[in-house]
Amino acid sequence: MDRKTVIWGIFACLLLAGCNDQKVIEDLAIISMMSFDQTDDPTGDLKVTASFPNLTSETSNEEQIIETIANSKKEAEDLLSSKTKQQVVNGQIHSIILGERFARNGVKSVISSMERDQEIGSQVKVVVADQEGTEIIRTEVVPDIGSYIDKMLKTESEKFTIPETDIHHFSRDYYDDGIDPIAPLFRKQDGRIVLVGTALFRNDRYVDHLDLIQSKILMLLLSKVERSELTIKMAQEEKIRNVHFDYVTSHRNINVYKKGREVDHIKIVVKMRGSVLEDTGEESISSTKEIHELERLVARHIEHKAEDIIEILKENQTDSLGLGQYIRQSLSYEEWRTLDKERLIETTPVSVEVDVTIKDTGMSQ
Amino acid sequence: MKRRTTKLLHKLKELKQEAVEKDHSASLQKQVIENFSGCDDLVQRTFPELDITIIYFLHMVNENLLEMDLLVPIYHASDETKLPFLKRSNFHKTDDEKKVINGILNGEAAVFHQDHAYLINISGPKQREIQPSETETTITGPHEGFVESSEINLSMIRRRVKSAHLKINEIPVGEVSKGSVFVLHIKGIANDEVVGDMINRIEKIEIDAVYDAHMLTQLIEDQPNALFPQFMLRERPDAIAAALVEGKIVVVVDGSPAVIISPSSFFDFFQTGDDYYQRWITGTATRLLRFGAFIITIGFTALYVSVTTFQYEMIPQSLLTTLAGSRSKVPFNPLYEALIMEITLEFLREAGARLPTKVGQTIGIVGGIVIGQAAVQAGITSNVLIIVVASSAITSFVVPSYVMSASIRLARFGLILLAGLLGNLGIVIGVILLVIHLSSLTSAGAPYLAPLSPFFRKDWVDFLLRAPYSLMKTRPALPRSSNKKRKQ
Amino acid sequence: MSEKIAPFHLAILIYMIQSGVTLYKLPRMLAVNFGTNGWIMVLIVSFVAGINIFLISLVNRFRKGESVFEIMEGLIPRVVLAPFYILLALIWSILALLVGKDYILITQVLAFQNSSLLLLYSIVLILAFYLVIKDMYTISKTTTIFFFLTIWMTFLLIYHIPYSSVMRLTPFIFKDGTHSIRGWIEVYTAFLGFELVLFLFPYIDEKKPKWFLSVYVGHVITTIVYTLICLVSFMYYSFEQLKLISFPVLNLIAYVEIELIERIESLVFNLFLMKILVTVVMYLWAAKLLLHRGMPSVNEKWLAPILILVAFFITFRVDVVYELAPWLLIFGFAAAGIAIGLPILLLFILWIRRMRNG
Repeated sequence: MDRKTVIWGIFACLLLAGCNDQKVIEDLAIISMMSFDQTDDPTGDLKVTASFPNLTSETSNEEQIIETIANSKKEAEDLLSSKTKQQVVNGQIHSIILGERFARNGVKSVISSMERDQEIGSQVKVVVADQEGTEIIRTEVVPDIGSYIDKMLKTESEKFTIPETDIHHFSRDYYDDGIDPIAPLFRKQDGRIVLVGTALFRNDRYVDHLDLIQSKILMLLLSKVERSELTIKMAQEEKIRNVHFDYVTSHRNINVYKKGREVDHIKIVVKMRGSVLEDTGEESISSTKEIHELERLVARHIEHKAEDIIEILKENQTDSLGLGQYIRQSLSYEEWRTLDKERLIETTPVSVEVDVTIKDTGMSQ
Repeated sequence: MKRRTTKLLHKLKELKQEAVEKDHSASLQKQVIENFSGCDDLVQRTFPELDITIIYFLHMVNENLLEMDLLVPIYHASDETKLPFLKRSNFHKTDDEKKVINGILNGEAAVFHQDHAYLINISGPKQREIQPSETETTITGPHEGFVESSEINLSMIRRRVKSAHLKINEIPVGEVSKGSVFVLHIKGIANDEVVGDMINRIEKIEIDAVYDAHMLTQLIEDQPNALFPQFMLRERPDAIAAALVEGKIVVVVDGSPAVIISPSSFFDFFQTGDDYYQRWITGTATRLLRFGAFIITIGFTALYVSVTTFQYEMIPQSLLTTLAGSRSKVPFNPLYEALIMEITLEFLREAGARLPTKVGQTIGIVGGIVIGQAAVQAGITSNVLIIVVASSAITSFVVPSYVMSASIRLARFGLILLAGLLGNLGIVIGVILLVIHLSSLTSAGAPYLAPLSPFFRKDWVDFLLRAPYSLMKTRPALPRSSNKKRKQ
Repeated sequence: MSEKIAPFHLAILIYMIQSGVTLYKLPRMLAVNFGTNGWIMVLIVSFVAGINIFLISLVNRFRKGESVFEIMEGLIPRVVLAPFYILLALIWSILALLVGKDYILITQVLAFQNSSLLLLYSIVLILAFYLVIKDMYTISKTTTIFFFLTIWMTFLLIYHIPYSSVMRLTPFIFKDGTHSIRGWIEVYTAFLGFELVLFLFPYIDEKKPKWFLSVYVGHVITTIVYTLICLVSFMYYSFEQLKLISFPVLNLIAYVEIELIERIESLVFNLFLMKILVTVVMYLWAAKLLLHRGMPSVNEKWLAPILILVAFFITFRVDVVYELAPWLLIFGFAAAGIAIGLPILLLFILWIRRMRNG
């Protein structure tokens, strides 16, 4: 008797309950990517462009791009919905593009809206455009822009060229008082999407960017790097000597030195290990001494580059390296509370020490 | 010889009246004959000079035996007082009317002589030969399977368990049919209380007839209304011998090639002989494969329905285009689409199961072309669903027990419905209902989900894994064996 | 087969009653109430709960094979106790239903926004009813299966290790929190459930003399799971961010992405229904037992439906997340009071009885 009651009860409830929330896959306009731009339009200050991969047939991969102007992300989704025959859903967004002007004015509204929306996952990648975000979304690529950018980000972040930044990383670093967010920067050039480097944020505002080589070095300073490569150009007499350094591991250590109760200076130590695969220099590298010399040269070069980056960070008062976290680690709660965090990076001297080990020189001496 | 018998039969019918009137044999003979009045296949022959009447069923005796063991001695007998053959060991003297009737019903011939009846077993075994079991084939290991005769089955079991401790209780079941049911256990290993309980259960059955062991299980189950079978039936003597040695009780039903193992757990239905005959690593791997198949068969279609109806965000990006594209032309809701396909597949399966093999192949081809190609091209279903339904059908056949596989398929429909109404939440609700249902089941009083819950750590050597024999040191806990240690 | 709960199952049962929907909010609760490194508080509160369990173990030691009812009725007549029993039954059944409602409300944040709360809630109640009418042994068997079906989720935390950093823990301990009594109660309620072991005495396989240890084992499992999840949460989220996220554990699960399925949280969160169900069912079961003792004239078959319906109508108006929170707090507080008070009361009664006899 009991089982019968239970089963009938459940089915009665189900028949009444279900069906309201159905999202049958072919009735959905699934957004694969969105871009946000600042506009001066009277109807709203946010221009939202969304790309919908065409899902109605298996063969063609044309995508649909719809643009709308609104005041917020959710309002934009409402408006987008009125421009398609299907229900607009955002559970499959894999990346968002923040246009340059929009990013410079602060992106918090969009990021927190994305975080609040239960349908959007936290692994949505955040990308900054060097121009209007809608320009990038309108690039014609195969199969569709959403998966194209996704693939590109994946390959590049696996090579440790750019940081892997998603909604979660962004807002985590935004809310942390010891680090500022960063994001990859893209540009459309001659109809192609090109990776430019890394966009640096101060709080939620885009302030400056690093080029590709700098962003590789930023990655070295930021965390452990498993594999990457660097081409180092050194002036040698009249010519330029090209050394291609392919490193397998790079460890980073940040040491905070205190003088009394004040932070005196910060030292970043990077230990790299790898091989030299190309060298256009005059003399061959065969002896240990020469290798050590080369190691020293490469290290100096990276150190210089790193110091340049720190200079940029200081100029913009942004703590993309998370040095604040390390300072916080060495202070007491009261000291940290009273610290002027805005000017922290600008005022604290930072030095970089790079230690390079060349484990081999490839197939030839 | 046949002609002669028939001739005699006619003659006897004429003599019948006369014989009854004569009434010189006791009322025993009369009563027996009265009992069988209206049975035209009953043969009654009288030899007045010897004061002998023999009664038997024409189609139940072996004519050769009849001739050799009974008629020839009678022909050679000269004198009423000298009937030495009646003292032969194959003649059993009895005065009990019921015994005589039962004997005749079992294919014996009754010889009436001077107020006494003698039974002689001349039954002709018109039986199927011992063949490999069709429902339980194995690649390695013994191939013989049980047949419909309980005598042969019991002899096959006895030959595998050569122990005086193997005890057999015979219990008659069926008010009308008087079938025999045998309860087997090994004394000293099986728990006597459990044996008594099983005998009690069978004795309590009130039914006209039991035709098959599967039918019997439904009469002795703890929860007859449950979705899942509570007793495992096997058709292989080696499996039955293994069960006996583990301390389980075995029930043989006369007329059925399937033998009941009691108690059985849910997980027993996923084991086969091959697991034990192969090397333990491969045995374990196949077993894991089967449990994987169980999960796929019960949940895969439901997951498809849930994902396409509610949880589109779960689909990986690379699959999204394929899935949505294949769905785009389909006019039905995924739930109906899945139900239609699943039911079609059930039709195909059922049709194939009933048809002779040659026609069955046609069904396969028709089904394959209609479902596989035409339905997709016509846009009735999506091809992803075809893959989903097909894989859950294939995996349903991986489950070795047909009875269990049928129950699982039914449960699958419930899950599909729930998934169509409430998505993943529906699936979880379905799983919860299943788990509650399964864990409240008992098989002859033993928990159905053992050794998982209740948790018997020692039995895990022969559960998801089939550990090497050196690790199987104790008998499973489920039969409550009185002798826990193996090899004793 | 002895139809008694073995120690292994008791430990699992205790863990499954304890861990419930609070887990989803626990890291945020800790961050808001206790500030930086609030996860350490899990260990402290767990220790306090451990003392509470110790009180119960004392009851077990002195009770001489009696059940809780027999202990109490040995001193106070049943008529006097009846209202007390009914009150306890009411508190626990309301608490159980609130927990169920809380779960459904969170489900509706995630999905089914447009479906009726009442109907989804009814389904959970029907499931609870289906389980609560079974005998204790079956409930414990079911719980064990639910345990195996849900415990693997803890291992999803491995996925978060690369995304976690010790730097985010900050070196400060319990700074920036509100440090309110409310926080203590909230966190303490996350551990509640062990007190039900008082009513389980007659159902436990007491062949092993040290069976009570398994209550501690269950509690330790809960503590380990809570601590791991909270620790990872504090390393995965930055502190200020953690304070803002309603259900940090849900986001944590949502971050897991595997090749075959993206966004597995919609599956995993629903699996959580199993844990919730055990909590709900066990409280209802204890309430049913109490009601039966308090009103023996009522047919046992009707007890569960009566309790569910009464509690259902009392909590009927509560259907918004923000309204539910104070209710949960009040009844959580009451339950915490029972968890501490009941064993003390029982010990007191046992002591008086010993004084009288001795």
